[in-house]
Amino acid sequence: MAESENTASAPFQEGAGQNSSILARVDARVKIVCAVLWSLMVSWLHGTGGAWVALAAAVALIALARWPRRNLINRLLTVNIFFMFMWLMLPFSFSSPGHVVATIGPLKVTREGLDLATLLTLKGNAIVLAVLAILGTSPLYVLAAAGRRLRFPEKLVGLFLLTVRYYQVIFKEYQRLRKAMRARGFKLGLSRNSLRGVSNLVGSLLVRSFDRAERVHRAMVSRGYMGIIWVRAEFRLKGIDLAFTLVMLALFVLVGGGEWKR
Amino acid sequence: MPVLVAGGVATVAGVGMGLRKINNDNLPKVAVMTAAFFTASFIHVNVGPSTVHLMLNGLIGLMMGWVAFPIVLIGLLIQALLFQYGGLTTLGVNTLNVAGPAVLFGFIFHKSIYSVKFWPSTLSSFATGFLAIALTAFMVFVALILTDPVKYKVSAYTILVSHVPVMFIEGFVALLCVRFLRKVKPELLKDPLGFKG
Repeated sequence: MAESENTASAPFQEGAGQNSSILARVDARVKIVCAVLWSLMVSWLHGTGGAWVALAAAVALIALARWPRRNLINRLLTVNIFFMFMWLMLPFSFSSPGHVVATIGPLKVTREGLDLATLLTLKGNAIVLAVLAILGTSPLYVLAAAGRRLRFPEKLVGLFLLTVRYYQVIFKEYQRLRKAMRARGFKLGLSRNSLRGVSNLVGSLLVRSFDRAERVHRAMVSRGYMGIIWVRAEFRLKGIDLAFTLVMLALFVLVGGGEWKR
Repeated sequence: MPVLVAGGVATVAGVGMGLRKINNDNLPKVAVMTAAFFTASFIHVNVGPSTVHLMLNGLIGLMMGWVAFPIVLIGLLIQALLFQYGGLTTLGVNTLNVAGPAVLFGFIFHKSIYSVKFWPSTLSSFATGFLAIALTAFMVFVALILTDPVKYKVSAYTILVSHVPVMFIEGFVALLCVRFLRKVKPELLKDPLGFKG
């Protein structure tokens, strides 16, 4: 059986989009607001007209972000595997009221089903690309600091920052455990032994993490931890932030126009 | 859209409940455990031609109670930001669907998994993993049907049916994990971070 989890379990790929592009210099607070509004607006769209415009806008944004091509292709593949399942199901989903375009055996392909699958794929890719271009160009800790400025709950911000930090440590621990198991000839599968191995792996990971958590906490307290995880990040609105906001507003209007004309 | 809003509101309430249990003292520990659960969710098990990844929401509920809400929210948020699974708009519903069953079955079974008798502890730890996934799948099903009963009917039923093997896997993993932890570090199953104190 293939050890498929090797490819699936890539650690953080932060940094792929963090270059000196214009988007990287926009204030992270502005970015968060714009990314959320964009996601909300695009997921609201009902017609393929607006969705095509949104996708074009998202492609423009990702080009502006100068995202590395190889990394981008990998990410889009992951997302579109999900939409591939939609394409396998949705075209056959409208049995009674649809316009039948083709029949495959007992299954009827309807125009409505195809339209819906197209719409979802366009919207999904438009959101992923734009959010990648907007948020992916800022380091996570800066986004967390911006979230703090936007009055996200302090505990949630701290939790996010520390989780991101310790995920990298715990993931290394996990890789060590996996390597030890592989060296003993362990294969992942659906047998009784395999599930026991997986459970022991999860159990060891939790035990080790818990012990580490105690040590981390003591180390933090002895360095003066008082409940706030400080991040060095300054926020000052500049001309570029105004320009970015205007561009995003223009895109909202364009997408809205595309939706209107359908 | 009403589904997304309702899910968001419920998640805000759940996360609020969870955050009340978190204080300056246990916050770093919660973060490390969040990272651990997040890492464990990358473990894939092969089922026939495809693979499924662990969710472990039953275990999260057993160990963390209401704090499962912030843990799941942070996990899904990192996934949305870094791997583009899910997304920002569905964050509310998704958190509710995963963390809600975790809290519920963690609450129901957290005492009986500690029974000294063989069958009560075996059955209840299996049930925690099994039922948590079953309820998650059912809630996704309901969310899709409520969104549009015609359009998403096939997708909703597919999700329900395809999760049946996952329920058994998660059930067995929860059972064996609880057994492992009872042997190796029993205090990890008894409110390890002092949320109830």
